[in-house]
Amino acid sequence: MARVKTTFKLDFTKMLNKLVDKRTASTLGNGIVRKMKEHMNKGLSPVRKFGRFVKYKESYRKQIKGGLSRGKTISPVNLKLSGDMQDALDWERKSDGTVKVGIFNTRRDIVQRAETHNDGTHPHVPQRKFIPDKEGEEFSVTIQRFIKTVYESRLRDIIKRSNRP
Amino acid sequence: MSKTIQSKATGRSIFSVVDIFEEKKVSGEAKRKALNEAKDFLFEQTLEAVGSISSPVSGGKYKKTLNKEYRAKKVSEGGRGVPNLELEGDMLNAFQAKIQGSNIKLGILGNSKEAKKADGHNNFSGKSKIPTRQFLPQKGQSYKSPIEKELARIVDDAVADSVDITKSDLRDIFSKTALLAFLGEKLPDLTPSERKGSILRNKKVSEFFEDLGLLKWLE
Repeated sequence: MARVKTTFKLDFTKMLNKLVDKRTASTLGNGIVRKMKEHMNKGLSPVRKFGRFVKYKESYRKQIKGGLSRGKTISPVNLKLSGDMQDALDWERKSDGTVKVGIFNTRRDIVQRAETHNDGTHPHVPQRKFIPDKEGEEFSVTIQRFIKTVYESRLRDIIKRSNRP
Repeated sequence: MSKTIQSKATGRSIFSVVDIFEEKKVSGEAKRKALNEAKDFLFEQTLEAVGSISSPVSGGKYKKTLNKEYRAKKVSEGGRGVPNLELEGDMLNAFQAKIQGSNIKLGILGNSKEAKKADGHNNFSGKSKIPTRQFLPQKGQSYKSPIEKELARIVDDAVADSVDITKSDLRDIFSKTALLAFLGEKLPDLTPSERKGSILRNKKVSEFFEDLGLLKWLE
């Protein structure tokens, strides 16, 4: 099944198996998805250097003003109409210590919509990147700093426990 | 703590220039890394704050409600009925952050129309007649404490990342005292606590430490 995802290694140290326990993976996975949605709901790409999402076209803005969907506004551009694509953002811990984040294990039409936005593959829909899935792309600095903070906290915890007599 | 060393509104621009190094001596690769990361971080945090209807600036004013008439007008034109500083989004789309020498410049640059709107909210000119909703720091101001805390860590991590620490440097370290002294020599501009944090957040270096059994002394 097609997916729009990114997988990054939590191989912070070789204490890996201890470092990325279920709880830490959950803190990271849930936190990253939450922060991605926070960015997106403010019109900001969760992918570093992609900035704010491109404005909606005039014709789409007219539809929104005409009541396309309750609560939908012309800005910020948030890639949200029904909310099902955002709701499909998910994470998964793998046995090798990596964490997968993206849109997977869901309806094909949602994946296709995500790919359209993320890659800009449709002639009438500009790219609005929200998952760093290409070589060289990375999460926003805000999200990366969150990841580092969780790592540091977990590493301190492991060191403390291993120093206990 | 970062420090805003300049803030200005001209006909075409409104901007703040921020020094993130708080008198720490940072140069070369470390400086370049820190500036790049901090620039993008401040860009994101400014837009995050505005989207949350608040100022990113410590002590910054931000009126959290719209007047009734304007609120109704904004909603009828397709906008949100909150002061998120966007209707069409053009002003925030024009917001940018760039590196200027050893500092970071944030604002609306070379765009009279959007700079005028931004000055309306920030009132650098002193001529604004609309409620203040500050998203750029004025000269002498700093950012809110969570932002400042992370900026300091960005600088510390860039410094630690740029220091050349190899396994062979660490092979003759056999005590906590010796380790802390070694780190003090390698990272003289950081406090002991800052050194520890930046090492723990550094993948390459913490792996060396772990391989040589030294991580335990970073508690």
